[in-house]
Amino acid sequence: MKIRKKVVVKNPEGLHARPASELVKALLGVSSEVYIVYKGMKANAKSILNILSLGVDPGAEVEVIVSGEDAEKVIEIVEGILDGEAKK
Amino acid sequence: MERQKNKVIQIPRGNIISEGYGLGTLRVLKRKKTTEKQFINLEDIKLAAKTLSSELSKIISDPSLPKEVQEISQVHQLLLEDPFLWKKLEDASADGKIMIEDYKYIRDEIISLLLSTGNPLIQQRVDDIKDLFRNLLLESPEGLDNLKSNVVYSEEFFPSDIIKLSTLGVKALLSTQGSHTTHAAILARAFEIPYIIRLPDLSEYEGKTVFVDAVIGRIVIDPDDANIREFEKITKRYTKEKEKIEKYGRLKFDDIKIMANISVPQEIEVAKRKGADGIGLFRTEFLFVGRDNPPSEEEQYLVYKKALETFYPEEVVIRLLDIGGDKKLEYLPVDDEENPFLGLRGIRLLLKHKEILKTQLRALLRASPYGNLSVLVPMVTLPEDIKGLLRIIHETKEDLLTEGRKIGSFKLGIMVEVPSIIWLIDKINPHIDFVSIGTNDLTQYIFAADRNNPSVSKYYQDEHEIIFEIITTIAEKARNFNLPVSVCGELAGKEDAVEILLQFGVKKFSVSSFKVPFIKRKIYEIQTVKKGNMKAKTSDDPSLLS
Repeated sequence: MKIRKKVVVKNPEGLHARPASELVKALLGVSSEVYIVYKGMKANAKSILNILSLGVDPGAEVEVIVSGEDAEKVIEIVEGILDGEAKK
Repeated sequence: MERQKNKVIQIPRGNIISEGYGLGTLRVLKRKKTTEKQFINLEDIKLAAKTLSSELSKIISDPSLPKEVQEISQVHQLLLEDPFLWKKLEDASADGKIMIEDYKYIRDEIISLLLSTGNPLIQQRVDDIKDLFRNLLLESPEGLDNLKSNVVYSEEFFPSDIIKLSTLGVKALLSTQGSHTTHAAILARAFEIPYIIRLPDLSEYEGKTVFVDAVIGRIVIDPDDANIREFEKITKRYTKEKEKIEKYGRLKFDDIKIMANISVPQEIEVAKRKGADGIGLFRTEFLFVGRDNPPSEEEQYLVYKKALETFYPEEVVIRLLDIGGDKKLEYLPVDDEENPFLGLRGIRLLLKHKEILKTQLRALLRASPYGNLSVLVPMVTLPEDIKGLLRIIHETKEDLLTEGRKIGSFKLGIMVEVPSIIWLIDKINPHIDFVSIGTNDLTQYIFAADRNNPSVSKYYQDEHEIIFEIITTIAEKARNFNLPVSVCGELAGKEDAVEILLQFGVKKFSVSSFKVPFIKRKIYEIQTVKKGNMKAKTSDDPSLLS
């Protein structure tokens, strides 16, 4: 299954080191492939270096592409972190 | 020839990363050099990564370490395991070997990737990448034992250095490079190791005794015996105090607030932990500097919202962008001025560049429904400054309401830092809700002396009686208009000045987070002595002060 969804990054730190590491950690045991597209650049969401190199600021809109069997569950995890709510 | 004793290097406050005192022998951090070889084995790098990762796992799972240390260690562990990095290394290897030039090329490529984002916070992570590549080459510091209980100098410190040095009880860190937002800086603050940056090369003083005063901002090299005894006393008293001081952060006074000055978002949590009764000065420059474009409304809104939520219901005073003078922005062209400190600064500049002001106001007004927002206007000189600003606030409100956005109530205050305000407060009063006295700039403008210019340092006297007289005048005038007064300059963090300020009716102090418990203790002592009973109450521990 492949899901593409536009998500606004509401985490007040954007996708800086801490939220990026949260995202990578959350995807450690996930089988789906996860990509984030921002300003025409595509990053593997399982690589902290890839995510950081996008330079996503808070409030920006990104596209999340998830493909794999657990895509539905994974998109929820990603949205939760980009929303800044995952830790609560 | 014997060098002169007591050589003093004065340090601007902005170069202090982490406050405190340190006395010890100056030691230079030396790094192992392995890069002379032409090739490195991929297997060796993998082994180094595995070892480092398991060291980090121990740190991550140690609950006694500060949260920041665990978070940064987590980032480092993920960098060590990064698939993008390993693909690059594997692609570059032939027969299990990588040419050292290729290894450096990969490092520089990754650094360029981060730098090209144009995002200052991500650009700061370059230090972590350099740290990672050094550590994988086992270029970690060598001979650490001789640094034990000493003052350590290095051109720059990396996050893993700070973690290692923290276990050695080093007295202070000194470096030529660095900034407030690097992970190394965050870790030094988390471990409470005094740390000063942007220093001249100090390696020639290796082996000399040095006294690091990362409170006022000075380094004394090779002090004489009398000075060493004095510094020992200061350091001992300070260390003893520090052990006992934290509990005072939990004090809450009936009518006095000790708030925190914040310069970067990471300080919000620190301020909360230190017991700040709100944020008295949230400097917003970090959002605007070191980038090619101004921050978006949404980016600002999310940062302001976080501060307001974290401290709710305590007040959070967010200062409008205070740029100009020595602070310039790439994307905001300002003509060269002969006297920039007397030129287009603070609100003067914002009123000229309404697009920047409007975006910041929109973000602030959108965050205002959280209920604890106060907006502080820098460099107000004339009532017209505030009237001009009010017109733009009105327009911005109208725009937001038309868009169906919610706006809450908020307070509007001015920084008292330009002398004219002392006499014009009567005319500004109808338009504002509070005043905040910025004693640093006020002192500069009163004495016409730049506080960072050592040639005129004798003229910069923020504890001069006329500064206190001015504060009294402002406080009295403000009281007549029912305007609350706060003091947010360095004076507010000086314990001996607090008593005088309290007598003048100042009820709000805003100081660096680190100073919050010290100032609370001072006020507790004043109240206890004066009233002969405990006016203060503790939030959760009645035996706190027994």
